[in-house]
Amino acid sequence: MSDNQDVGARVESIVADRLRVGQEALNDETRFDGEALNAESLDMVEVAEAVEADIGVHVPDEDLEEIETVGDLRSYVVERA
Amino acid sequence: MGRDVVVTGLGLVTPLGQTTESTWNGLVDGASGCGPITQFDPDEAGLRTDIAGEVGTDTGVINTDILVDDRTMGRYAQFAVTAAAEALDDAGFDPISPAWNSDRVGTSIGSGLAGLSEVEAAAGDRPSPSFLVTALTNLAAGHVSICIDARGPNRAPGTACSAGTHAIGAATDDIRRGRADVAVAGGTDAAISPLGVGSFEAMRALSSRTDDPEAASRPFDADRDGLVLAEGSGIVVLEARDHARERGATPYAAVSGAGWTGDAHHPTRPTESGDGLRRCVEQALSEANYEPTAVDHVNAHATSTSVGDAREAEALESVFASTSTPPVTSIKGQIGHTLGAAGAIEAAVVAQTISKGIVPPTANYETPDPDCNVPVVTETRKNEIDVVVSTSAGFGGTNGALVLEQP
Repeated sequence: MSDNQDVGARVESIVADRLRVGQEALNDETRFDGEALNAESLDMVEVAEAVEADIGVHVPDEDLEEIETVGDLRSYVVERA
Repeated sequence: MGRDVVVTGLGLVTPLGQTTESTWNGLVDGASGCGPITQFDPDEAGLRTDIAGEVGTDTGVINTDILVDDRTMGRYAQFAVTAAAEALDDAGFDPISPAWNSDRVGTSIGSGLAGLSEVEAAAGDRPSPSFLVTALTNLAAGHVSICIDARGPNRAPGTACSAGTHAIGAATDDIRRGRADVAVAGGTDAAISPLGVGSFEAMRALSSRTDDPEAASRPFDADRDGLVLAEGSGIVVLEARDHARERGATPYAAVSGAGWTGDAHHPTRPTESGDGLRRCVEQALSEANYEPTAVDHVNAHATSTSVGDAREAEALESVFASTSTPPVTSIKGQIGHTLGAAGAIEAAVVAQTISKGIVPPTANYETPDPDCNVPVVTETRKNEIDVVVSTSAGFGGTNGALVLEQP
């Protein structure tokens, strides 16, 4: 597994863990504000903090606001990891 | 309704100074209490936030060395004891005089995080026998009552950032209902620690304007981006009006109404359109028997967060819909957010506002935000003030409001 795949998988696992859904329910198109995840702002902060603690990538508020799908978050983090 | 309640003494420990006078002068002169954190190394703690509103090392009006015992008092309790000593002295009370009727004196001092930093410091080691009394939420009230021999009702609301307001509202009821003649009431918090700052940082509640601490807290301003965590204590001496009159005390203000509501909505976010706070202010005005048109000034909770300030502005707009919203000040632009102390510090500042006819400004308000459609006071102004509303709101959706007026 390349580093990128590894980071991407860790992002998905963090999202699943923090938002309490099975990882199989997630794909790149899954929207954070959609039915499956139903994430509100504090949930997104929770995800971002876990990403920072686990992968070391800080997602500032202004960028976090732009992240709409699991795929958005994965590419954001992979680019900066 | 019961007896009238007046404010006869004030005590403040804030980032602007350890007395009412230094805090008040700092507020009207536009000073800032926000600056670099000195109590610990934020970098070492892995924090991005390195600013806060810390209480300095200047001394208060009263030499509290004989009262303050740092082995049994957490920092939050030390602040409350210092502020209470000033407030009692200001009210002209001497707890060791034969005239001090201790059974008729209540203590009501709230705190949000209380001994959080004491818990943090003790974690992992075998606790000392005095650890618990340095940390429990009610020990500010406990220590103050011991120091001043107050044997009446003793209470410590733990209602987060509404705690100080709730403590004063509840003590007012004690006097109205005849449970006490005098009450030492207020709030205190001291959470400038890695865990305290880190917790708010993790929630993204803090301002990231760390390169300019004095401009970081900007209530209602369009460019606000979070609060500045601060520490301190505000204590007022409340007294039945007839009791104050009999001993010839001159009141600063009267407390004529209090509001208490819950949002029942979300752990951190206020209700849409600020409905919980609106109901709270309406309840306080109703208890005080005032229409919204009677209000001359609002001392707002506004902590400089994006959502909180906007919801509060909506709440105020809807309360004052029939008229125009009176001039609004949030002193958190200068002091930062002192959590459970905030409402009490603000009540003491409102008592000064009424007594002096001077309204302090909202620091750093430069660009109006269409989401905060309230008239914000930007310069210290002098005018007769009869009726003031002070608001508080806390995590868990707990709201408090007080109506203070000319005595």
